[in-house]
Amino acid sequence: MATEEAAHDIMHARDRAAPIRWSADPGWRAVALPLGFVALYLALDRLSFIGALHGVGITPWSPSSGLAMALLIIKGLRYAPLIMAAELLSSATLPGASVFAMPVFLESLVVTACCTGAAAILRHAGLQAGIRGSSDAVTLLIVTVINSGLVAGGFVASYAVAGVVPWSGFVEAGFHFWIGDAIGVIVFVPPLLLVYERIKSGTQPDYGWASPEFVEFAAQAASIVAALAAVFSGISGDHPLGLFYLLFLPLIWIATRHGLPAASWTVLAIQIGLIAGLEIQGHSVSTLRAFQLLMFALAATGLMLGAVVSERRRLALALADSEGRRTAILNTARDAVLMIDARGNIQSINPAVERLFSRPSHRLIGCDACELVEEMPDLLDRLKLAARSPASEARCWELDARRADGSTFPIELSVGRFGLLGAEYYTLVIRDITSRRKAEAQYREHQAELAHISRVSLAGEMAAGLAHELSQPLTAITAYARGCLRLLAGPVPELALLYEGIAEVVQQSERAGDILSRLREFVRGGEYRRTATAVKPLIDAAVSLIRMEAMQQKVEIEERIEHRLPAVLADRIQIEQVLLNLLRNAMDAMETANTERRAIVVEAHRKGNRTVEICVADSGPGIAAEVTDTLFEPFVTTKPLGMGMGLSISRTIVEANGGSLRMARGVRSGAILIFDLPTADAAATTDAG
Amino acid sequence: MPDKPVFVVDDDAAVRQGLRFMLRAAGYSVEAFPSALSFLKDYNPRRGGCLLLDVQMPQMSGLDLQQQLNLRGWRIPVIFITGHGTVPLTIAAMKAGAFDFIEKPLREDAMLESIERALHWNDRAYEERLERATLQVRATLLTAREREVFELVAAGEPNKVIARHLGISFRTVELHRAHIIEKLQARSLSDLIRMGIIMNSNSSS
Repeated sequence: MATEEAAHDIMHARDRAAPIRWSADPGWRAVALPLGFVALYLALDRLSFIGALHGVGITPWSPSSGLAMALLIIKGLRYAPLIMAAELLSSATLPGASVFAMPVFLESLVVTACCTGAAAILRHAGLQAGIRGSSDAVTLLIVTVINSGLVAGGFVASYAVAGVVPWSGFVEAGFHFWIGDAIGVIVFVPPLLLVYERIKSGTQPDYGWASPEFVEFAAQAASIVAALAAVFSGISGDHPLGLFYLLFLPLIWIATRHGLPAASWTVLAIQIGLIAGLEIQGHSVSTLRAFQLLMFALAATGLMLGAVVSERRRLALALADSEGRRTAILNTARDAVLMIDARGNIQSINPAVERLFSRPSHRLIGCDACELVEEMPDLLDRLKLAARSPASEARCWELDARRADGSTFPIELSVGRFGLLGAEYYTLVIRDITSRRKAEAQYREHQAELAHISRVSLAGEMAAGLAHELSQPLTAITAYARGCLRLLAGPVPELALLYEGIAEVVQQSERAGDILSRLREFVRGGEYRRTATAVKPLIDAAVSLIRMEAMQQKVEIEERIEHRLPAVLADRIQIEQVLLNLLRNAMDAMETANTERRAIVVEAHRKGNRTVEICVADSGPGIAAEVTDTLFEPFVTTKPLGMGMGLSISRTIVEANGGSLRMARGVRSGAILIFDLPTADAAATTDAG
Repeated sequence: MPDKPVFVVDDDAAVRQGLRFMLRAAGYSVEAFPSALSFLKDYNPRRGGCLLLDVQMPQMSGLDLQQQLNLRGWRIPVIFITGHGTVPLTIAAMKAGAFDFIEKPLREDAMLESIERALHWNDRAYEERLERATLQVRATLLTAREREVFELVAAGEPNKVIARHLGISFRTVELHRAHIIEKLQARSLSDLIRMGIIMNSNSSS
């Protein structure tokens, strides 16, 4: 409960509190701050000037030291001269104090130097930002004890040298000063830091109690008063300090309930109450000093306990905060997130898991994660292996998942690993990729359609060349058939000649048929299948479709195909289309540029063990630098009547066939376009692995 | 008379052999060549005959071969065969001195009739066309200045006038004229003037 309230406090502190702004102008502040400080310093020194030993400032407690230390910590070491001035003024004007210029000056110097050194250490430890935790509290305690010891030694020695304090009383006087100074710092610095922090952040000072708790606050205040009353009621007995322990009870109550701020104020209140009570009752100075030792223990306890409680509270709050964020993220995520242990049992899930697998959480927690995916008995081993991989791609793969009703759907699975208390856990992030798969399929379909349309238009562009290609066998057929007719009409038909003629007719008819079926196959649409395809026939087919056109444009096409090339895994027609596209581009480039020598080289060779590279190089003017970047984008063209689809489609086709299409510049001139395709056996091993 | 040969030049073996087969069956003596160069190497102009020539061939095309024939002054009638006879191509071929132009797939009667005419040609129009084509090919050998001189000579201007007109010396004009006669293979000055008239009639047509 307390944690939540604290969280509430922190979150609403700004809303609740009317902002207090230090709105005075800087010039006024520059005067007001030192004046105010000196006035307060003198006032505190006077108020605490009780039972001074040897008539100098060796008092049971010195709140002014706390004020000086707080100023140095908050405002920085440049205020050291102000401390010096205040201490000089204070010591020199003490009532009844014999004024010895020299020891006063010396003593002020010692006090200022030690305080400045201590403040430097505390600032270095970050205390100007407030006491954040138990380590800050410990630092403050240790530095204060050492600093006060040094100040005490220096202070008493200063007066001893002057003869005000006898050397015989040095230890006693030093000890008293020590305790008094330390108490002043420990009691005063924490509340002052708190006040400053609140002023700085523009909110009201934090007294440690939230407003709805004033009943408890009243009870705690009453308990302090009661404890003080008890302490003072027993003070005249045999054991004047016997009941002091009672004061620990309200302090512990408050510190554990409300943390450091409340504990700081409580310690201050008890100290003031003690001093006031002792003053009123008029007890001996020695009793006062005995109380102060106990008071030091009380203050240190309050400080430490409060700091620990505050720290724990802050940690709990941070934990709750991060837990809340984590839960919010996991609940918002559309991806399913699971945590499994090393045996594959599901430890925790987010709501998306229930949604994705249509299973309630009680039928998921504790179940074997392998049940969620389709047919993969070694899933756990693969997960463990993948989770160790440093590459994020390796920790992610696609597979099929299974719902409670047995239906399956495609998922993308990513795995991560973390250790907790020696045990290993794995986080699985599962994304339903059904729609992505659908989009991909649609894209493939669309791409195939586009390729088909472009192929038909390509065939249209080649119609003239193809007509000529067809007219060759037809011419031969006519010639042979006519010849045969003539022979038959003659007096004695020569049978051997007739046979030869008719055989040629048949052969040439078949040749014409081949050309037609090649064309028909080329423009066919529909399904594409990657099969093991020999490279040379592929290139031959493409070149033969364009040979006539090349001849008309006086372009020589040379094939340089490496011997014993392995088959590639590709859709033959689609790759033929790519080749034709590249060949036509090459011819167009050379035609418009009026290049003297017109040659195209189609080259195919192995590249490594797993790919075959096919290059189409021309002797044209090459590709202009300004289009190289956008060469493969659709609707980019250098031809007057071009659509700019050829290379774009070609690249898509090559990529769909597992290769890549790129451009290179020729050695002398001309463009070289290169694509590669996986060999059939390389593709087979990849699929198997 | 039966021994006037028909030459066939076509890079496509099937077409070449088919034509040879048909023409032999029709009773002609046929010689077939797979390329323009092999024909040029083998042919002797004294043999006469006619030439069936494929327009599209690698390396040296049909039109290139005809130019070569004109340049050498070998007067063999050329019948072009083409897969797709476009009008500009036909005009270019005819202007270059083709005897006829036949499209594939071939029609036998049209072809045989054309061959028959070519083997026994007696055609003024063809002769003039051939002459003009020959002259045009040869005229490409002339320099720009020689062409200017030739035009003035063909217009009947005397050398003195030509020299004044072009701002060159009389002797230079004579030198140019000698070169022109040599390059155009003219037999005499009057032959040169005749050539000029033929060429001018072509450019005006």
